[in-house]
Amino acid sequence: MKQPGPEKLLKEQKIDEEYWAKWEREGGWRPVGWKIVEMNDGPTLNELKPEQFMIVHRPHANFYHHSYGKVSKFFMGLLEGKLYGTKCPKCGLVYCPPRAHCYNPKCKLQETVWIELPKRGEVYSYTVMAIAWPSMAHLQPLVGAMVRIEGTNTCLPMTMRDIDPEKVNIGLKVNIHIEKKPRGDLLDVYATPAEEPKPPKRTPEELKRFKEDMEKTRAWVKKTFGTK
Amino acid sequence: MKGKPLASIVSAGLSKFGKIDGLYARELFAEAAKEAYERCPNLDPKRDIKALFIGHMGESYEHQGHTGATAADWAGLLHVPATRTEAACCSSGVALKAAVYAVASGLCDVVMVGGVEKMTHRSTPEVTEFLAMASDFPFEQWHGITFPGLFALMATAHMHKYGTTEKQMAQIAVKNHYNGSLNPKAQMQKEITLEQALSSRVVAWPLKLYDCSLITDGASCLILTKPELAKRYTDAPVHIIGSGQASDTIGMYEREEFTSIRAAKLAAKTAYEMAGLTPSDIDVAEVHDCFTIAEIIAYEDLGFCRPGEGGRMAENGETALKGRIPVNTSGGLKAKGHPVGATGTAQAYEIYLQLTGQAEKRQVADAEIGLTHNVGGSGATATVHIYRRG
Repeated sequence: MKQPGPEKLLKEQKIDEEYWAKWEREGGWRPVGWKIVEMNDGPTLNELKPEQFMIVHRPHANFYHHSYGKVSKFFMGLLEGKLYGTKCPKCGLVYCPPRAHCYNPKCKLQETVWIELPKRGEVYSYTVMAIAWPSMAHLQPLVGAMVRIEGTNTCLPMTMRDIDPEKVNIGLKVNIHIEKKPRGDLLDVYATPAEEPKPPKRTPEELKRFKEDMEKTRAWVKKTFGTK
Repeated sequence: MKGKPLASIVSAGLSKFGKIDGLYARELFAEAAKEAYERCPNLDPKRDIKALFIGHMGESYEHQGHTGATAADWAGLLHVPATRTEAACCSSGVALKAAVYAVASGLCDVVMVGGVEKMTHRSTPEVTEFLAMASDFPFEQWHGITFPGLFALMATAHMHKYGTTEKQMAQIAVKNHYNGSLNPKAQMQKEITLEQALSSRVVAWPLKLYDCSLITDGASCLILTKPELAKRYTDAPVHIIGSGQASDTIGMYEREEFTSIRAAKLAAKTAYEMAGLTPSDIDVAEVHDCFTIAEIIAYEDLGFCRPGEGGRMAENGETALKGRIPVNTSGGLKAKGHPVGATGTAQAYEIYLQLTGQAEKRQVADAEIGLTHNVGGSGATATVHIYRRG
């Protein structure tokens, strides 16, 4: 009988082994500092008295090696600048993010088929992030959106570029792009407006506050990272 | 069956909530357990308690898994069967459901159920990463939108569809901070003004700093018995008369609507049906306000108002301490704090105090029926429990 393994290597973007090994050699998981603090403690709030505690600073990190499983083709597609989704041959639902099996209970986990999707969609909902992930903080204020790709029944989350945060709105038609040098995750995908945006209705007071908030965010980015 | 008690709360405990640098999670849980034992002198924990269920989300925080046995060990319950449940921010809501199964099935006379999380010793990016594990991997964790960002997506959808305003969301924060100021165990015990909330730093528009709940250390627990045994332990039990739980897609991106949480609606339907009650019967509720928009959506999902009216309900003060139906009298996740694994049973702790007249400055007059609403992640799990004064 056939067995699932062993795997056969077809293509590889090698990792920098040194990067990780160096970190392990230089510090590992041993504490790199400590402090002794005093704080109030006791069985209840009425019986608190000062106690001493020792706190250590212990480096700790993970290096994940993981498969994208049965939806690997989506990420392999990104490496080639293509956008793939899946379609249920029974009920016709189209998924992006893809699913290997249809979630419609009537289809009883029917295997889906791969289809290439157009790089066009519509903003289903959005947010303007003023505190983003640390690695993206220099891009603040950063528009994040749920984008429904043309012909699909779900939304692909992604960030937007070339858009004034004040103008982004639900229903905006967008073009979807894949980074020139894709690294093989969803951050390779982003959207730009495909039409002149129609901003949401805001009262003069709300608009003033929004503009001020964005200015504050831009000022913080400038102060922290220099020019944007 | 309708309205029949499934299990009875005869005691409850809550640790301090806040930034408690010195203590381990298990020590916080022991603090909650100690209060529950002290409230109930007739309980002999080692003799009576036949099982422990504990909600705990993240072994990443302290590099400590195996929370069931650890908590039993530190709560003086060595050898008792201990089970840990994990459902993100709904971990102890789900533990409570499991405890109800254990008691209502007749297998256990007395059980302890609780939850714990120790979070504040990790940096904010680390906490953010750990919490993000509650959403779909890889399609919801690596696209650049933060967890507040996911709830902001719900908020913009709600604003777009129903005209809900930033001011209405800020009013939730003002209300919950006021309630928190009356709760000696709350993390934030100070009032804020509407202007403070509205002008606080944007996190993920339309959500600002004061729209977001806190990063908190804390633990909570309850002692449940069979209803017919309740009087053995206390003259003032609180009966659980409805217990609902439901799930939804792990990815928010596959949900048709961002303006409601379907799992919460389904859990509420089950709980109301078991209890034989309607939303208008509820005297006091603790709902999952991880973000202010989530409380507005909760009003609608629980049937306190019609879809789209949650914002106005907040604006009119209907859910204030002296309003038609006081919500989050404890201060909620917003002001009391949100140690994620502890939240579900911490909500039940507040309802226990309210229905037994022990809520002091924040007591709701003559409260007889209470409700808790606990949501995991962006809504892939939800539990709703309904309680009646015994």
